[in-house]
Amino acid sequence: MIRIDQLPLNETYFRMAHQLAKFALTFAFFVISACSLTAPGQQVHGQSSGFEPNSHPSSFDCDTAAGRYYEVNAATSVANARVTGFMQVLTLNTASAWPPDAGLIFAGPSKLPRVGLETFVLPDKPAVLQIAIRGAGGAADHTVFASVPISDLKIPFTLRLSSSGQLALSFGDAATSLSVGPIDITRMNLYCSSAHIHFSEVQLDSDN
Amino acid sequence: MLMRLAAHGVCKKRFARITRCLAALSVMSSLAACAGVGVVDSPDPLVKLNDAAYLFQKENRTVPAETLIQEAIVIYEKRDDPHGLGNANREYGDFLRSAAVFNWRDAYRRNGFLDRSVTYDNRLEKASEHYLKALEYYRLAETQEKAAGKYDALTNVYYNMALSNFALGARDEACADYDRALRAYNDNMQRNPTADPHGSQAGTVPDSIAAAKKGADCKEEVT
Repeated sequence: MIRIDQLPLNETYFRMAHQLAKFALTFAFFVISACSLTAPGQQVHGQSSGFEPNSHPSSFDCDTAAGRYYEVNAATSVANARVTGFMQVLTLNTASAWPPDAGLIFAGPSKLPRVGLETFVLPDKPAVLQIAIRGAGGAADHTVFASVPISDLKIPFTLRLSSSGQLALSFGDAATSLSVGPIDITRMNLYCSSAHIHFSEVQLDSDN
Repeated sequence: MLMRLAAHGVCKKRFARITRCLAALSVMSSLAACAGVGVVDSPDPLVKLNDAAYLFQKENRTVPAETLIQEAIVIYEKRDDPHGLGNANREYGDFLRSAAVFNWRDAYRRNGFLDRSVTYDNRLEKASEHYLKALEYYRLAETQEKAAGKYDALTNVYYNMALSNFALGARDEACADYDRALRAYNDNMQRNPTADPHGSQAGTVPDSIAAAKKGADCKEEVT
């Protein structure tokens, strides 16, 4: 006896047609989603922070997507503060209006003043890292004193802030100084935005 | 009954085979129509250049970007189009200096670029060579556009010359090119008062030139 498991012919074709339709829809979805990858996306310049009292990180891997910001803080109130360490650029994300930016600053309990090292990449000079010293006047108060070709080399830095308000900065072979006036600092801040930056061997102490 | 079932089985197998073939064919054709995953191919070299710029500036996708630029160069060479070749060479310079190439440095150190004369370590010098080459092509285009009285195209040529000079660090030359672009624009508007040239996100053509001059830190033109 022949066992018949087959569905009636019409139903079989109906199921095949159904599967074909499912496949067509899946394929259309694949093509549409794949080809829409080039559509510009919107990024929010978000911020996250972690204040870590009495902790002095010796390294900080700061990895942010385009338009994102990340920072770490270490409490300090020493006079004549000095920070040394290395900074290494690993990835630059240029997909947002916020250009790659990273730095090391001294700050008080408030958002401002923030003084110290600021590095960034200008959109029309994507192969060059701009090195600036940041004064007490806010985000626009920075002076580019050197630039280096973008590379993944570990670049040494030293930042000093004297109790009289003299800021001294060296980055690689370049150095500069700036009078920022007496500032009541409570923290050292490492940050990056739209980039993957590795800070290593960061030491915070006093020149006293 | 048996005959009918057998026929039905054969038919079902054929149907499944046809479905698989159709699936494979459609996937292959969709890939063939793409310049890269998610990039719809276009025969227009200017579209290729625009797509390439978006890919390496915004999406960190260097492989399809470089392919598109090289394809555009081949098309412009066949057309003997100096303006297009200027644009393509300038964009290849931008590509070589881009953050995306830096981000893929390990792959480029290992495999090199499509242009085999470029290595990761000499890419910045090669970028400068391409900007210089772009300027040569733009000068050729300038002569042709002037002779043909195409002042709209001439505006564009000078604007692109400015970008190339600025990329080479020649700011004074770039500023002079911006001024020449504005003069060519004014000439075009005098000759064709009904013309409606496209500007940029900064606004009209004069607005765009003013914004670019400000970005390049140019002084006001002495008249």
